[in-house]
Amino acid sequence: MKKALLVLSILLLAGGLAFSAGQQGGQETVLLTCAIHIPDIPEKFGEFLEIFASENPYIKIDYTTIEDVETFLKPKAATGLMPDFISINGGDFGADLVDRGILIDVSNTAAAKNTVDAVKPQFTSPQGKLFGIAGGVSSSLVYYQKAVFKDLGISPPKNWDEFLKVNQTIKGAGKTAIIITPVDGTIANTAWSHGFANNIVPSNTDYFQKFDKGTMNLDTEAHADVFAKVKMLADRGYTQGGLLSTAYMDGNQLYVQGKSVQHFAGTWLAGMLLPTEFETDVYPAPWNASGKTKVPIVATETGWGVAEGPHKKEGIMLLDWLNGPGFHYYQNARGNIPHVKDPMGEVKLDAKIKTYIDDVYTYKLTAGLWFEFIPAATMQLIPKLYQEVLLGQKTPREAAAAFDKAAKDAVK
Amino acid sequence: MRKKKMLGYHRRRKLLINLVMLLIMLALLMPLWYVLNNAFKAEQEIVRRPLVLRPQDFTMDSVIRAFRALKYPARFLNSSIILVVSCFFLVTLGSAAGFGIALSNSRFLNRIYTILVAIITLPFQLAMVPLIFMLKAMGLINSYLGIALVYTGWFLPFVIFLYTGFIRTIPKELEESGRVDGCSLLQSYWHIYLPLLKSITGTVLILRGVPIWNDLLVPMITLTRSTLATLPLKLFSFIGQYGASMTRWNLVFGGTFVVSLPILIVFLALQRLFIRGVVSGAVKG
Amino acid sequence: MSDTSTIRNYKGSRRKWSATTRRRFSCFLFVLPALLVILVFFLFPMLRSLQYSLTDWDGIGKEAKWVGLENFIWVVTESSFRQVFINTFYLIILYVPVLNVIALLLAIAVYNVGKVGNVYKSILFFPNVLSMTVVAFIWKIIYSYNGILNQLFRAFGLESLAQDWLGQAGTVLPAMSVSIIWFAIGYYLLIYLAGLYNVPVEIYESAEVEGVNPVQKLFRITIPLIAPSITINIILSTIGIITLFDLPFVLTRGGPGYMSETIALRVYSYAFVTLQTSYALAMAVILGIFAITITLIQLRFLRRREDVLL
Repeated sequence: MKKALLVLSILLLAGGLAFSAGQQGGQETVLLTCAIHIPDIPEKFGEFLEIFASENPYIKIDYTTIEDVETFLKPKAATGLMPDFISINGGDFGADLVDRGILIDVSNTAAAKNTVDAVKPQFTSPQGKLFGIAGGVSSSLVYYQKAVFKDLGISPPKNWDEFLKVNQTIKGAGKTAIIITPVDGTIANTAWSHGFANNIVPSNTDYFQKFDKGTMNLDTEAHADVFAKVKMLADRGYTQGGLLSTAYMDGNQLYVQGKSVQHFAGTWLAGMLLPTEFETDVYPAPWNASGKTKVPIVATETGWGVAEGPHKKEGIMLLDWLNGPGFHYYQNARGNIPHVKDPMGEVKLDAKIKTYIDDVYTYKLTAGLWFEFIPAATMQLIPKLYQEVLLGQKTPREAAAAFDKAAKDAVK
Repeated sequence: MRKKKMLGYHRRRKLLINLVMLLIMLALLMPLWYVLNNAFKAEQEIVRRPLVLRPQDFTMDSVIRAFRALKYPARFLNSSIILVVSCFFLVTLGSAAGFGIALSNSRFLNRIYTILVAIITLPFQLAMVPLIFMLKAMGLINSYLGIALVYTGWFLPFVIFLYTGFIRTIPKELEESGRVDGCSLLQSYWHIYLPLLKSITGTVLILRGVPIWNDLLVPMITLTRSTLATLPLKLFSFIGQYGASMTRWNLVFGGTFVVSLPILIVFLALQRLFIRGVVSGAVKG
Repeated sequence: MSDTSTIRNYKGSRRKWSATTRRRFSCFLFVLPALLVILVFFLFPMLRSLQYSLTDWDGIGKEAKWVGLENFIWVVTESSFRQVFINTFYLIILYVPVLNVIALLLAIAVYNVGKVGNVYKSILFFPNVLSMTVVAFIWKIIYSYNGILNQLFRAFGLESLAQDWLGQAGTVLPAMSVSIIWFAIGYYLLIYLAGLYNVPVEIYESAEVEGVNPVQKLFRITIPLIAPSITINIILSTIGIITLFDLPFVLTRGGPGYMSETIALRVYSYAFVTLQTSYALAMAVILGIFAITITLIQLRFLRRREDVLL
């Protein structure tokens, strides 16, 4: 009898504990898996997610940072193991995922309604579904040390020829003129995209569609020049030592330490690159030939999407929060250009960047960033091709031809 | 150690060798010192004085931050569970298989043994891709069991090789006398042989345990949930962000130190065993 | 010890299980679980790899059309493959001889210094207990353009030696090899040491008496007598370097360009980066064939020398 009572009471206790453990706000705990690509503020972003979780106690966050969106998500999509909430770039990869039903269409979310229309096309699939919300408006430009420019009596160059002259002057003063980062996608964000924008977009304004159909012809001198320009900078000694082993963060670090006078990087790095000890200013990348109008880059930043699955409701909640009440945390930490209509909080945007982007908005013709329009399978080729050109293993024309072939093969 | 005649020639030669070895040791330890001393500095000091650790610069701050950033206790637990389960499988299945092969006198089993030894040379990459899909189909992705089975399948041939070699050195009379006393094979295995296998099991644990603990590839391709990440995997994602994440050197060095610590401690405490383990493994070869 | 004669079994007759057969069966049962795990989790996927390498399976869907050797041809004629193959081969040459020579010399040194050799043994083995990720990372920092190695060169006025070790085609593989040797030396040293201990002391002592000089001792006595250890180490280190993934991956990702990409890295790249599964499998099969061939050649060569020398 006593034994039975003991057993019963233990069972009751256990049941009570289990019951209360499962009860959190009257709902079952949801573990929201988040895979985020945010290389400049990985920890901070985790903190933002925790703020969201604290406002919704029944949600627990499982946060992974990922290095490269497509590389990480492809196998997950293939094996059906998508995280609930993911970073996603505008472009063909995400479009494919939403049309296959792996990502959900977020057109009717509060987040989408709060997003400016300009950043929606890159995140819209051929079937008209919106697969993600951009993480910001982005562009890439040249950051430079104001004091050095003043000392050397130079001013921001407006075209490629002036750019070469400026670099030559800096080199003559014994300094590194510009940082180029060929190890990873950074070079595609900068040199390749601007080269493509200025050399190829003016005569191919329908390049988005051409890439989709595989009719974009890239085995051209214009495209070869995109590679040749970087080689020229390296050959003339304008770039940093250890060029071929400089990766994204290495480049940023070099600039912040004052080891180079200029740095070609994205607007999303303003938060890190502007508050240097020396005064830093920016100017639009001078990849246009003299006499030709610049084609600036207006593009989207890596954004977010929600996967189809049992937690999509919570995923949408997070999406709406990040693009609404929680937006200012994210934006303030990065200082990037907002993509939302109503930021619901203070926006920290450096005046210099604001000036830059307002100026860019005045241009009639702009282009996107590489990952928004090239086939997903060719993305890792661009840095590799630059490396081969810099090593002297491929001529710029050969690199152009190789990319052309890969882009066409990918669409087959 | 062997006795040597204490000729002046020998003493001089010993001295010379010792000197050279000392230099080599220094060169060898330099990279380790580089990491170690920077793990205990604040960020600015790392950049300013990368090789010298002044007492006034000493701080546990980097290590602690790295510890937190890596979510260390959870990762440690993951790595440990995977290690224990894998080793459990390897030891039980491997010793049983070694026992069966060594004692059977069967041509069939001997042929199997030869094939197993040949399998040791096959690269993991050959099985890698279909293995993931298979694990997924079996629902073993994101599970300790799944990873343990992968390691087991991969390393069993080598482990069986070690056990078989060792058991073969045990006199057959042992088993025969056991049989005379009425022991079935199972009882023989359990009561007679298993206790004798302690030393070779130690070898197995060291030779395969360390690589399993430190492995990057298998967790990288079989785990999707970060909560299950192992220590090396977490460290890699930590530093793998676009090259050496130099913006937070203190975290990186602190992290490296703190991830290597458990194995370093175990190694220092058991170094005799480690070395004996490798040596006896080599002799079996 | 069998107590019954074996009875021929022919169609239709019952086979009587002799004690021997029963015993063999029981032994087999001991081996079975292990065999099952190996079969399911290693061999079966391997066979699938072989099978799928002959199809166009994309790793996602169910369809897999037979394409014969098309994947192999594509993968081998792809422009950077030649470099990848050369890299793998070059790395073997940079690594295996250097590692083994150093390990052997160090083993002999440790053998000759007496008690303090124990300390040397432990220190030399130390790097091997570290995770390869950690090792790669340490060396990545050391080799970086503004890293410690270059800083030392510059501090000692050897400016010209300070270079981009991991970013130059000519230096990346040797630099990688050094870091791998640093990691593995202790392990191979211990194996050679074990081999040395197996040599009867008397042989050395009589050599002493006969006034054999060290060089002769090394080549005429030591090496022939530890031939089995040499064989093992060469084969193990070769297989190790061929399949090595963790370290090159973290150290260089195969760069610059494709100058440090090995076949093992290629497999990963096709499987998880470009997601061309059928190419990944073809490359894996090539890797397997490469590994087996080299091992067999080495075995042939080394075993024969072993016999001759003994």
